[in-house]
Amino acid sequence: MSASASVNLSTRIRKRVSGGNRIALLLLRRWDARIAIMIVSLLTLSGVAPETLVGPLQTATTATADALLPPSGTHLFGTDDLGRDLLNLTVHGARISLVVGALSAAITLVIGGGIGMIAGYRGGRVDALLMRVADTFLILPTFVLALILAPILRELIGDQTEIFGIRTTLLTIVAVIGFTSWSSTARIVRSQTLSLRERTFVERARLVGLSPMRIIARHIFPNIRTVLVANGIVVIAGSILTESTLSFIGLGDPFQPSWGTILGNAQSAAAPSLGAWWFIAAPGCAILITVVACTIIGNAIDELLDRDVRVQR
Amino acid sequence: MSEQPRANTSASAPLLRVRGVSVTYAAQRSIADLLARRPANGIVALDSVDLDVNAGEIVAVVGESGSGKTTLARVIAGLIDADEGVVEVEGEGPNDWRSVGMVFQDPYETLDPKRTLGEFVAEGLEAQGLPMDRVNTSLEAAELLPAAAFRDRVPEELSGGQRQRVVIAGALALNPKLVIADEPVSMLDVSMRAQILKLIEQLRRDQGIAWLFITHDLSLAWAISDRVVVLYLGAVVEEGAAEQVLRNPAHPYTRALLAALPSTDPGAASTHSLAAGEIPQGDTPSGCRFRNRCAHAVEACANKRPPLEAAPGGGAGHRVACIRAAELPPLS
Repeated sequence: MSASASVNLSTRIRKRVSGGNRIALLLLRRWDARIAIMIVSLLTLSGVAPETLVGPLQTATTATADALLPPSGTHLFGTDDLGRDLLNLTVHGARISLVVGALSAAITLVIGGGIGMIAGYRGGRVDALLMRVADTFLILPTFVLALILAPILRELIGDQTEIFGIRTTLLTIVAVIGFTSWSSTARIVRSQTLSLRERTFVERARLVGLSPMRIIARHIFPNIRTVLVANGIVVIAGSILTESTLSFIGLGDPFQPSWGTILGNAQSAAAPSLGAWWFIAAPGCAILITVVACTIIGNAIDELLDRDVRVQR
Repeated sequence: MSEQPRANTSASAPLLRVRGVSVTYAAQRSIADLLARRPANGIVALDSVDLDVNAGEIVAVVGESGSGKTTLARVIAGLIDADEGVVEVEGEGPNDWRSVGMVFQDPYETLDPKRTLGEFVAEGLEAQGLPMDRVNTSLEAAELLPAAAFRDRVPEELSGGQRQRVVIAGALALNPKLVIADEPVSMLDVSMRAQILKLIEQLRRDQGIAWLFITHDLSLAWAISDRVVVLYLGAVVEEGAAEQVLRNPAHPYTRALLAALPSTDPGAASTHSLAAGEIPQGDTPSGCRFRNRCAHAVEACANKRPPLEAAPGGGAGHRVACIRAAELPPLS
C-alpha cells in the first residue's frame, strides 16, 4: 500500500479495529494527546484517591504549618493564609472540578445528543421547533444564568443536603452548566445527523420498515458516538472553567474547596499584594493545565475524525 | 391516469403494475420569480410512465443519466411518492415492502460501517417479525459461504462485490417476489460484475424472483434481461423483448444509445452524430421530447407527444413512441 512505516501501521490499525477503538489507538500515537491523556489520568487519580496521595483534607483547625509559607521541601506548593498545605488543597480540589466537569458533560451530551438526533432525523417542524429552543439556550449566557440560579437553588435546597454524597450546591452548578451548554452540542449532532440521514444505509433501513427510533439507535448514534466524545471532552473543560469562576466569586461549596474556591481565598487574603504568588499559582496552574489537556484531547479526536471520515468516504 | 389497453397482455395480471406515474421535483423559486408571481418551475422526472414486470421476469430499464431511471426505482420501492399514477405489486400499494426488495447502486454506502453483516441482513427480519434463521439462508443464497463466517464481519473487511452480495442477501431475507436493482454493478470491477449478474440470473431461476434492473449500460441490459424499457426524459420511448429492442431498435434514441456502445471492431466508424448534445436540463421540448437531439426530426414531431405504439416490423410487445419509426432508414 504505502512505503511509509507509519502509514502501514495506521492501515493495520484501521483494518483490525473499528470505530472508537481505532480513534483511541490513533490518539495514543500523537505526542500531544499522549501528554494530555497522562495529565488527565493523573488528575483523575487525584480526584478518586486524594487521601492516599496527600492525606486527609486540611481545615483551619487541622492546619499545622505557619501561614503563607513559600514553596519548600515540606510544603511543595507553599501554604495558604490559614497555614494549610496548598498541595493538599489542590489535590483535594481536583475531585470537585472533575466531578462537576464529568457530570455537566454527561447532562450536556444526553440532552444535546438526544435533541440533536431527533431534530436532525425528523426534520421539518420538529426540527424547527427544537432548534429555536436550542437557539434560545445558546444566547443565554451560562455564567450569568449560573450566577442567578446558584444562590436561589442553594436557598431552596439548603447547604447541607447531600445527594449521593455530593452536596447539593455542587449539583446546582452541575445542573446550571448542563442546562445552558447543551445547545451547541445539539447543533453539532443535528448537522451530523442531517448528513447521515441521506446515506443509503439509513434509507435502506427505512425501506425495510425500521422505526425512526430504531434507526437513530442503530445507525445514527453509533456513527456520531466519537463526535459526541470529542464534544464531551471540550464541554468538560468549559464546565471546569465555569465552576472555578462561580467558586471564585463565592458561589461554590465552602466545605469542599475546589480550585476556584482556593483562588477566591487567595483573593480575599490579599495574596497578590503580599507577594504570595504560590497561593495563586497552585490552583491557577491546576485549572490551566486541566483545561488545556482536555481541549487538546478533544481537538485531537476531532482531527482524527475528520481524517477518518475522509478515508471512509 | 389513463388506462390504456396493452398490446402484450399476459394471461395473468403482472407482478408489478405501474400506470401513468408522474413525478415532478419542485425547484426552488428565486426571489425574482416570487416577486413576478411566476409559478415554481418543477423538474419533470417522470411523465406518465407505464411499466409491467411479470413474475420471474428480468426487465431492464435503460437510459442516460437524467432520464428518470432512479426516480422510477425509488417510486416503485416506495421511497418517494408519485404525484400521479398507480404503482401496484400483486395488486397492493407501494408501501407493501414485504414483496419488494431493493439493491442500491453503491454497496459501500448501503452497509452501515458500524454494523456487522449479520445485523444488516437481520434488520429487515426484525422490523417485519420474520424468523431470524433466514439470515444464514439468505447469506448462503447470495453465495457468501460459509454464512456463519460472514455474519460477524464488518463491511470494511469485504470487497465491493462481496458487499453487493450482502446487500442482495439483505433483500432476499424478506422473501421478495420482485427486487429492484438500481445500477447494481456500476461501482464494481468488471470481474465482479459477471459474478453478480450470474447471481441475479440464478436467483431468478431458483427462487423465481423478478428483477427490475436499472442500468445506463445497454450491453448489461442485453446480457441479463428478458425485456428492455428505454426511458428518455422521464418517458418510455421504446419497450419490448431485449432481443428485439437491441437487435432491431425502432426509436432514434435507442439507436443512438446502441451506436454509442464501444465497438469491438477497431475498424468500425464511430456514429456518435446520431444524438447531438446532452439531455436537456430545462423545459421538456413540446411534442416528441427527443426531437431537438434527433437526426430524423421533422416539423410534425413538435406537434404532439407520440403515443407508444406497436413498432413497425417488430414482434409482439415491441412498442415505440416515434411517429417516424416506419420511415427510419434500416440499421447498417
